[in-house]
Amino acid sequence: MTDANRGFQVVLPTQAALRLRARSRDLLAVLRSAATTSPSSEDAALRARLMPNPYPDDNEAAEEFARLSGSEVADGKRSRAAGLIAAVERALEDAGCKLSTVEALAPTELGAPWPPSRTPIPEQLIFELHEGDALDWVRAVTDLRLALAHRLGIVDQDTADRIESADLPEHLRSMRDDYIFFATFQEGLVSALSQPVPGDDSAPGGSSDPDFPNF
Amino acid sequence: MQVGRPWNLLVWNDPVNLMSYVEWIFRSYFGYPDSVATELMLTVHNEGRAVVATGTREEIERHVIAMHGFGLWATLQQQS
Repeated sequence: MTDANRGFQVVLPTQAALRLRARSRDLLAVLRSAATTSPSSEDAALRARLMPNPYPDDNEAAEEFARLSGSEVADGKRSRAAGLIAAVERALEDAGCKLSTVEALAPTELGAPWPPSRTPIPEQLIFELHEGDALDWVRAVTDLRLALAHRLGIVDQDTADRIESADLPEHLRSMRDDYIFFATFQEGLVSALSQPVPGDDSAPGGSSDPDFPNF
Repeated sequence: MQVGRPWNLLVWNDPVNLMSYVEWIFRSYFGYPDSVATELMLTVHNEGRAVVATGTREEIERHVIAMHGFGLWATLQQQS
C-alpha cells in the first residue's frame, strides 16, 4: 500500500460537489433499502451489481460466505458515501454557506449557472484530503458510477457507447452528464494517487502539493 | 493446515470501470509491478475476465471483499 500521509487538494465547482452529494444520497437510499421490507426489484438488481455474488455457481458456498462476511461490503460503501456527503457539507459550511440555502434551490438550478441572487453560494469548494480520504472517495465515486450506469441501462460496451450520444429525456441526461463527469473526476483522483510518493520527510505538510487537477 | 487445490480470484470485465482505475487497483492493492497490472487489466478487458490472484480460500475471499469495495466484479473459484 502507499503512504497514508500524502495529501491532496481537490477543488470542485460547488455545483459539481453538490451533484456528488445528491448522487451519494441516492446511493445511500438504495443501500439502506436492503434492510427494509419491500425493496424494488430495480434496487435489488443494483445491489447485486454493487455487492456481487462471489460464488455464482455454488449456492451453499454463497450462503455461507454471506453469513460469515455479513454486511462488510455494504457497510463500507455506506460509510464512504456518507463520508463524501459529510465532506461536501463541511466544505460548504467552511465556505460560510448554509446547507439550507443550497437545499432551497430547485434541482434544475443546480445544473444551471448561478443567478446573481445566489451569490452567497461559493463558486468552488476546496477539499484537503489525506490519502485515506482519497482512497475512500475514489471508491465512493465508483459506486456512484455503477449506480448511474445501472439507471442508464449501461450493460455492455454497446449500450455504453450509445448512451454517450443518445438523445435522452432530461432526467436521464443529467444522469449521463454526472456519469461522464464522475469518470473525469475519478481519473483525476486515480492519477493523483498514482503519483510517486514523495520522500518521507515531506509527509507532514503534504497537503499543499498542488498535484491534483482542478475541475 | 489447509490442504487441497488453491483458489483463483477472478475479476470480470464491466462497461463502467475505467481501464486506468482497474490497472491502479491491481498495482496499489496487490502490489503488482506496472507491467503485470497492465497485462492483467488488458486480459480482463479483452477476454472478459482474468485470474488476478491465487491462494487459500480465506485469502481469496478477503480479496473478493476488497474488490467489491472497489466496485469491481470479482468471484472466486477453486482450481480444477
